[in-house]
Amino acid sequence: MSTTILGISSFYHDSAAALVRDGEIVAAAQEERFSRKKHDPRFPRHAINYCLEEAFIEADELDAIVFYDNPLLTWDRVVKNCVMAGEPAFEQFEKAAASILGIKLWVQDYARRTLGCLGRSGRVLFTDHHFAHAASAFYPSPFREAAILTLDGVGEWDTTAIGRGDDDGIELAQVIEYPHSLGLLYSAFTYFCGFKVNSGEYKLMGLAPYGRPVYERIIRDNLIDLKDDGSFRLNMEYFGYLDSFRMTNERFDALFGGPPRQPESRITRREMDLAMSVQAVLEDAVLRLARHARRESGAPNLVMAGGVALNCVANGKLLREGIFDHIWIQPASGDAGGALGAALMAAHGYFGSPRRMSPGGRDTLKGSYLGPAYSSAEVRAFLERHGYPYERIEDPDGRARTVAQALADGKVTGFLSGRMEFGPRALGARSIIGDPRSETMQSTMNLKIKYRESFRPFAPSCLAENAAEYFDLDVESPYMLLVAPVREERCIPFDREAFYNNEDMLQIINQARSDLPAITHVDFSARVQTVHPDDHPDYYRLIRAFREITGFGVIINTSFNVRGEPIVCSPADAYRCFMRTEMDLLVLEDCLLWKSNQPAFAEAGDWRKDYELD
Amino acid sequence: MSSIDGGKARARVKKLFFRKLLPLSDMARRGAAYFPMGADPSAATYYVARNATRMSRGDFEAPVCADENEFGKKLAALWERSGNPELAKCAPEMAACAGLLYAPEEIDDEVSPFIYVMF
Repeated sequence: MSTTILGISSFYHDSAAALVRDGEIVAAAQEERFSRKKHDPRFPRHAINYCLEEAFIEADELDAIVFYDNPLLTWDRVVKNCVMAGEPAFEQFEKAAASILGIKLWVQDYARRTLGCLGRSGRVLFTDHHFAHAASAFYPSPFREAAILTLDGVGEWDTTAIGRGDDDGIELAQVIEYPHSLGLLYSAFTYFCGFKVNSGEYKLMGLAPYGRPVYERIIRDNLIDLKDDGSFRLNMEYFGYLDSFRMTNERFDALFGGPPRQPESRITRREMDLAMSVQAVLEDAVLRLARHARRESGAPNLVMAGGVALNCVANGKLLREGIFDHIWIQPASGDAGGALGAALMAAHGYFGSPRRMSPGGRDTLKGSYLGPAYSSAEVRAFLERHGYPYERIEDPDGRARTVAQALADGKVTGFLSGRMEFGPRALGARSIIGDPRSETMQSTMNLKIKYRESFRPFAPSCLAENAAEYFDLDVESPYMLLVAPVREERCIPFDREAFYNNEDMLQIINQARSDLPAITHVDFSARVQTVHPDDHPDYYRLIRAFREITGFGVIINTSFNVRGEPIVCSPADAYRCFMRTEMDLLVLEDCLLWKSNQPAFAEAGDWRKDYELD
Repeated sequence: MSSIDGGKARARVKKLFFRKLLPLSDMARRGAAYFPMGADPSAATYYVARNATRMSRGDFEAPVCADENEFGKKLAALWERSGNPELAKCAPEMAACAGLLYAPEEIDDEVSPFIYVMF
């Protein structure tokens, strides 16, 4: 008998829903993509609705609805935290009470009100937070058995978990408990450097190569005690998150020479060096944890999930260290992925569905293309309804050649093709793409298209079989979760010491660092996506055509949005973003729209005010 | 994502914190800490071994709370089991707060079956 399970994550950060049938992942999406509110934490009713539609079922046909977290244990942590912190923690307690006692505890009511029923089981099931992360990493992976490492800020009590997955399911044997957390340590520096917690961690990672690890010793001596086996404790005297809404406190300020950087103010040498310093500590911790996981599990392969697993620089180091034969990382590693993990955990751990393995030895995540798609007919109906001029090219190869030629001519292109990605990275289904050979493309795309900080690097997409021509990478990286060095012969040395002695980031950003300058970070690295023809044939075809025209099988791939906006979902979202920015070409399935042909785009008010800066 | 709007609920939460929980802080500071605040040079490792390394079927079902009474009972049982009787005594008051705080998001519009379509 078939078993269909809906997984839900919500009420904290980045709500999502996922649907699994007989162990097969059918659909998954984040609520923000539909609600257009970045990191939307509300109950994911739009995402649920999409998942049910994709599976062609009604809510009463669900065998179970599963929530990704245990609110009882989360409340236990909140209470004990506030008792430990005493009177200063009252505001935190008041807010947590409203959130957990007022909302999270009643997830079953939310489900009933939204869906009109609770499926066949008549109740909501729950998984532990790190079991959901572990399930999201292990079950779709290509490994029959694997060590499991989950790392995040905190889920219930746990911040880190080590275990093993095999034919008997998932076992988590050892944990590190709150408040000792690599995720919270990294978030503390994110906050201190003037970026937003829970979204700016990626910026901190991107900033790190501009700095030197001059504060690493101070961090190790004062903030974290890291054992050889990877276990660790933080010194809570320096952190603010026990009793305030700040991640750090005055002692932390004193340690690093003054108060936190104000958001949107100039980034100074201190922030660059802090970013590099905490990145170095994090990488060391991850490597030690991985070695311990290998020893404890005896497994040759590793799977990872949790927000810290999105640190693709650390992931790249882990890969190159060779501790495991192979590693696989869940691309939706944050809380959104908890929805998928909860559904998978219940499918296999509660209902006993057999695990599905890919006969070809690849994973079963379907390229993470798990969201909605729009047919050519739907796209054309949209365009014609609004009178937007377009050119239709039905032949996939001809279309790929036309778009590739536009890229080669320096045109920046919005690309909507196939099912939307699940997780924070755009992988060619909802991407802005460009020519990586241009020396000015990084700053152009950052400032005129994305409206974001100019220091942020762009990632390359390349054909899976050609990756080694450009990068020191001998494995697939389909989810853009591995940073690898650009091949040395492609790099153009420059005087880094001169840069370290001043604070002018633009000086280095606009300097060619390789023959692929727009995707080569200042440390000659790149966050690589390898594209396999089975995962996204149209995207693969496009890169191949670009290679035929230019000799380079690499293009720039960045998410299809502007700063603070969720990645686009629908053709309407894509058209709006296209018209608000200086993109030249928009591809909506087999329809091409040139900016120069479009009518004037009028909007009421300043759209920039719709999006809170991330 | 939410805040306590009702004056009654706010007052009850405040009372819970200051009258029930805050007195426990001294005890926690005097040594019965709920978690370590820093390094322990004598510890060989900081890993904590999980008591239950796998999720049983019962674990999936355990957190369900149909109402505040069930929540209070489960909370008290959790704290009795974990050796925190001082917190278990607070569970009924927390359950009462949960009843007052219960504030589901307003679902103010119908979810269209085509909500994710572009029109």
